[in-house]
Amino acid sequence: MIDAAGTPTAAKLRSRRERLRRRTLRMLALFYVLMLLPLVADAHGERAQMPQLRMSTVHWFDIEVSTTRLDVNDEIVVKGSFMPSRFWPEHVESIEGTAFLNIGVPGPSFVRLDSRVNGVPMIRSTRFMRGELYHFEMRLKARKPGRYHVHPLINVKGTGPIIGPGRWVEVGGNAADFRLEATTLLGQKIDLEHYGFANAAWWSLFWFVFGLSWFVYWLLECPIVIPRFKRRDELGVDADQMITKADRRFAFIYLTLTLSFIVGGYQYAQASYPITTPLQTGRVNVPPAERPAPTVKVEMVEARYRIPGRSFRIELKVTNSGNSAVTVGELAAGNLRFVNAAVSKVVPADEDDLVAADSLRVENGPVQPSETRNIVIYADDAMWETQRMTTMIKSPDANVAAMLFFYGADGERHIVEIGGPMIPVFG
Amino acid sequence: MAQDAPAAPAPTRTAVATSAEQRRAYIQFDLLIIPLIVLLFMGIFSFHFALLVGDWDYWVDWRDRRWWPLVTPLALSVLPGVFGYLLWDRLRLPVAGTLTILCLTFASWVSRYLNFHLFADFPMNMVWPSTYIALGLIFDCILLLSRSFFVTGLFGGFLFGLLVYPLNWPLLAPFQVPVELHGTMLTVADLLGYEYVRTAIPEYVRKIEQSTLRTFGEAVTPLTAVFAGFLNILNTWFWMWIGYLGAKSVWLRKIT
Amino acid sequence: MSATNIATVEAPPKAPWIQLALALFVIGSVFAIYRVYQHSTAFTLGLDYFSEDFQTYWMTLLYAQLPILTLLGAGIVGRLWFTRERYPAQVSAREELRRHYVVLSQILVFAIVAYLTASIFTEADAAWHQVTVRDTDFTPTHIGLFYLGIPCFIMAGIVAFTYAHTRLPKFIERVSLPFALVVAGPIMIMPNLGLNEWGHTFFYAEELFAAPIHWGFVLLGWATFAAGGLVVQLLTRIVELTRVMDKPAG
Repeated sequence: MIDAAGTPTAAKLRSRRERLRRRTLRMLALFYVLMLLPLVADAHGERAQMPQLRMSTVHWFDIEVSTTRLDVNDEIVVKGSFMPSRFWPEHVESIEGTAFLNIGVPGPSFVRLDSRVNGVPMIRSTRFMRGELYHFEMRLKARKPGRYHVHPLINVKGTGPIIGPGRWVEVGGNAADFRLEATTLLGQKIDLEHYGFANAAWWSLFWFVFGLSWFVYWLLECPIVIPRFKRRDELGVDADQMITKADRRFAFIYLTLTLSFIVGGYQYAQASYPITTPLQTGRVNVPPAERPAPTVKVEMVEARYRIPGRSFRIELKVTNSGNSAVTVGELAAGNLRFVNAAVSKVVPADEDDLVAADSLRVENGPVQPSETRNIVIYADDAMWETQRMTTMIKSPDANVAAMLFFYGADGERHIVEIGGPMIPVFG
Repeated sequence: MAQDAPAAPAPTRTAVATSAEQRRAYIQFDLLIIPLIVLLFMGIFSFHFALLVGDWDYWVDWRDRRWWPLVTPLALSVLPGVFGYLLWDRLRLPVAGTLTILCLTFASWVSRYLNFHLFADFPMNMVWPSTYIALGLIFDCILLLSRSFFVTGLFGGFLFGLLVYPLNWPLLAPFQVPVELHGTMLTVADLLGYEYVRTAIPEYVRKIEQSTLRTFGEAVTPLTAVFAGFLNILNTWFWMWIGYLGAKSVWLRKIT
Repeated sequence: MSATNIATVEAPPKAPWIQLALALFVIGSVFAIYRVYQHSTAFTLGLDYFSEDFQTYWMTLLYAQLPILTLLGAGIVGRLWFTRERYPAQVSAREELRRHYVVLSQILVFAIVAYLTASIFTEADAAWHQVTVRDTDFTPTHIGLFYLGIPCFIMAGIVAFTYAHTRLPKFIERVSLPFALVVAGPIMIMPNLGLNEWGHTFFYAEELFAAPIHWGFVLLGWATFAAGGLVVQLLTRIVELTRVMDKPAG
């Protein structure tokens, strides 16, 4: 782009500059768009845990969300039940030690307004007993737009998070509209998104500027490093001569001011906030849910997982002491649900709801009242593979556990946990 | 070396001819070394503080009366001790306490804003960094006035431990006002910690207020502060000694 | 003051400001772009190691950055070695002073990478891990921190170390222990990363950032406390190189 005289014309230069400007703007716009991409969070974490850990720690069931679409500031209730496994692996710390009911979402995209287990608020940590039934409910408020896979979750001390089934929830609206308020016991209404920040920032800035001012004095000497290094070397043991009377006076003033500001700030805070309380901690106790005496007893006779067919064959000895014939409607293991369509109709809640709606076959059922009988169930589905449950054959502890949902002819549901060793079948 | 050295002029003894050139050379050095030191302090102190104090400084609901005022000064005195020795011994500059803590503070604010606020989406009032700059100033002033590492460790180290809590109280007090949630009394800080979900930081992970609660006269904070002060005297002396080792110009003979 | 024996033809050297600014611009841009990418994908495409998205958006990055950084580092260090000063005794004072400025500029680059890595990228790792469920050793923040930040940190250290020990006459003769310590700290972070991942996988399930499992990293960070000794070594020589002679040297 050179004109006849061999120099770029002003117009061409302008257009070149314009192109550069446009290109820069485009780059900036791309960054901006990347920063603002709406959140579409993947499911997270659950597939990485070892199958044994997923199957024999916490059994989650009846998970429900009150809505799957809401706006910022709207509330959603996540509820369901869980039963800590009686077959909890010995090599991980038990849920009977310390545990906390939590919610698995990426960051505080929701805030937790309430969380309860069997009606007890779960603000603090607790413990859950193996083999007992617990009903939980969490009330959340949407804070940030996006599409989230919301999981109930229990953190177990020393073991980590045990994740429950997730549900996709879409949050619309504008994050800037989010409001969260509370009222202190002194009657002050506070905005939890911003409360106390301006004060903390002001004090931080004050000390920052005051700290910087200390350097103004020292950096008046320019250059500083090499001349002081040389002089220090020249003076040797008399190097303290480098400190002048003015330096000492300056330091004395700064020391006095600093101590005064600390004492003054403390007194001011005491006067402004005469009533405060230490951070609160401790444990709460949650009694397990009461259940009628079980009328269906099950013993796992044998469990074999056939790898090529992705098929779990479990032989069970079932004793029915109830008044109605029962049969297996569902096997739930590691958050995967294998459903006997002849008994129970389950429609997946969304595309990532781990339900195989017609994947459970039952041989030799149902079990009549007052009868003890061996039955065989087959849970056949690719989910074993896609959800990485087949890695159970690589476990150093080849035991499995699962929940069985029996249904009586009278429509009653009986929940029974089974567990024991698993033998893989390779051919 | 098989090759012969080319004939070259004898090297001159100095690179500057005049005082003006010398001054320019000194300024060049300052312009390189000062940002270098500032950035290095920002990096090392952040890293060191994140991995030793970490959550106690990240979250407002971790700043308790027992562990935060004890853990913090022990970690906080390290860089003032090490580089306090260097800058005083070699340059007679009493600035390391303030400089290192200013660097930490600046880096902390940048990181809290970028990482905890923008990235992880917590409100800034839950993740603001505590302020410690006054402690650095006290350290430097005592060093200058006493011209003694011993006295600085004794008084400066003690005040480091003693004053962490009162220095931060004007920032922290609003967050320790009581509130009620579902029949449980909490502080505002606890409420923030409960409501703003932290999936991998369950309540029990908080190392706060853990003790037998046998508090004579309820003097929890002063007791911790004084204990932290005493412990920090030894701590500061130790790190000054490390500073003495670190400032040594040690050469190794080449192996080849 | 007279200084008759000093070559006055060339001006006294200056720090390589333009190259330094360029290096800062490149490093700043790489880390900033990476950060924007991390911000926009870590909480969306980086949550499930076993998803296709994770493999595409994060593992591909990991597989790309490791060989690129290794080749880049090996290339720069190799070039420095093969173009090393073979006649240190004949290096003029001005050239030696210029080389000191270059080393200081390289250490400044090292300090910038140290800040970006040890503060911003390290605490991004803290923030991310504390609000998500860790499901692999290669989380989005680990890929940024341990496989980009730390390698760049190591590379910056080794480049400065190599330059000094192949260009500065006083460093060619021997090895600076403080410099070696400052550079060894970041290098040893990689083996310590093995301990970290091993511990998180088998023994420590919590995400407490000040946990003892992380203290090995702190110890290695403390290697930079030897920077004082290095500064003293550089300063001592620079003072010698910047003396103003009162009399002609005999």
